[in-house]
Amino acid sequence: MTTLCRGWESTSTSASQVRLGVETAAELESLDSKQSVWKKIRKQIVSFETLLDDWDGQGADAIPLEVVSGALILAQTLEEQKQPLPRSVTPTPVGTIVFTWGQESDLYDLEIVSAERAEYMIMESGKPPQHGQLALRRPPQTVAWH
Amino acid sequence: MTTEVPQVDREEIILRRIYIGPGYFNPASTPPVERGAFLPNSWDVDGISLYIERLTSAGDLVRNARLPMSQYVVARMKANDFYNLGLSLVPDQRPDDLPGHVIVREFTHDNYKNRPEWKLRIKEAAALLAKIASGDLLKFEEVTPT
Repeated sequence: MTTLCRGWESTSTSASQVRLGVETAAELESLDSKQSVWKKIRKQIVSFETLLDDWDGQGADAIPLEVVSGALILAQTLEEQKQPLPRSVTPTPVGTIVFTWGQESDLYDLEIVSAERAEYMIMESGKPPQHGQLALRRPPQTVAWH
Repeated sequence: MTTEVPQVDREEIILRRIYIGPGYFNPASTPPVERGAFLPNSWDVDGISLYIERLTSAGDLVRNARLPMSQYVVARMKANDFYNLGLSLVPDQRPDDLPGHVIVREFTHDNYKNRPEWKLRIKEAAALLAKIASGDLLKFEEVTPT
């Protein structure tokens, strides 16, 4: 299937809106295509391998290699399916990587927990939160709901 | 999550130290605080740490952090913000803690990693707390003696 979840297709995100870690919008505005943004996202994901235990000075877990692998698979799949660019791709203190779409009122995120599995959370204004899982498979290059 | 009588007064201002970095805080984002700021890491065996402002200042909180104070912001929230989400605030004073140390007992690393039902609740609550925390933030700069 090509639609990851309700709302994503209607999310319009330009290259200049994408934020990766602490990089600035100005840096990203210099990027001229979605393709180059995805390339930058993949590079950023690979850099998360260097985050060791306590990378935040407050006890954060290291990002396991399998989580980095899963995030790279997801990024590749999303790009191939021409899905909207995420607002951010960030490591978490629990050793996972989160892709986030949406802003203040509506939040869509995918948390990569292993090389094969991601968990999604949808929080839309006035609606109960939704949770589920995605299988990350390669090949074939598809993202499918469980 | 809890129906116990609150141990911290509902009107108390509660402080949370937040690392300035990907997944925690980004000033270019709306809201700037992200849910990673409230997720429990492997040190959070009993719950995530917060402080009662009446007993410890935000300045003391960042001065006692392991990284330079400019690497953190401090969010000011009301105890009631936590109670409204069904969370508990439990005094947890230990010899090496700053005064006024409290924990959110539900937000343990074990609950997040090993108990799927709790994980979903923590993810939702952390996202909501991130929005609330974004409303009142204190930023600190290093002071260089002249």
